[in-house]
Amino acid sequence: MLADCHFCAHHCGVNRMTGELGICRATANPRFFLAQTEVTDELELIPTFAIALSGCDMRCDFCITGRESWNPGIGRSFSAGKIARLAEAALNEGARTIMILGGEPTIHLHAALELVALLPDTARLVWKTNAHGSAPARALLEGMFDVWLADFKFGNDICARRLAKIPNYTEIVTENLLWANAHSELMVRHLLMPGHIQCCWEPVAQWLGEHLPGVKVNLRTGFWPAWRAGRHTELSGTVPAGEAGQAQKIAEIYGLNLVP
Amino acid sequence: MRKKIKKMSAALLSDVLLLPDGRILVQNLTKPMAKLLHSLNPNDDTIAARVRKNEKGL
Repeated sequence: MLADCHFCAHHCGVNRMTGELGICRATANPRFFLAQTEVTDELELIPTFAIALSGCDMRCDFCITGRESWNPGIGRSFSAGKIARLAEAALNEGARTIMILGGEPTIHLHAALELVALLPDTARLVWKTNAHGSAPARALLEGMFDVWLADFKFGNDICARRLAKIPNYTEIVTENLLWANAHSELMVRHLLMPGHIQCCWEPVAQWLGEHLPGVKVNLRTGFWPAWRAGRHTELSGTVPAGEAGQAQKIAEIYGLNLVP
Repeated sequence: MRKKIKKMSAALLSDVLLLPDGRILVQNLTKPMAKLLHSLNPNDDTIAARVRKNEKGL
């Protein structure tokens, strides 16, 4: 698939084996910028051994790891064998899960699957994704991860295009979420953005309530104006307490199963 | 080889944002950072829950 890359929904079709670059600019040789045990994520997943691969197919101006996510050349060279040994050590020290993330791990699917093959069968594996993968990528991922931890960032295509340069966002993401729910345990994340309650959170909440009732949803209110967020007036600060409260009420209206 | 792996695992990274209103936002919260934040404010439920989960995992 690297010779005709269709891992993500951009379907660039570039030959990464010969150094051709698509939108994510990833080569055939992934790099990673973080591999450590963390307790940031959903309570039922932590402590997790998190492996963050450099590069992403989205271009979110507010990305918390913009430097690493926009540049797949940053970080250390990825060796599945070395990372698998670190992950196993972390499990022995009490980590409950192993989480592969980015950037966006889908663009390095070949390396992620190589790593999965080296991890203990009993390990609970989490695929942390922006849910912008392609159907061929999903086919390769089937049965590989216990949990899909997927972002649903934008509630409409206008915000997605303006803030992350992604066309047809909602169609692609909802397709991925429905697939993930049918093939593994799904947890959905929404990072609440200041000024985006009505346009983004409410449509997301409504869709989740209607199409994935009962699915675990983590509403994250800790937005901070990272990377190029300052280019957008409404994203130049944190989420006001009033908006966080309003978002909680919306979650209740649509009967969402919020998890910490 | 063993030495290199040890070095990689030792380099922990957390990003912390201190806000003027006293709130602290954290990205890539590690166990040591969670313990530190918990010691600064034991009443913060978000951090307390993460420290408790971590202790159970050990």
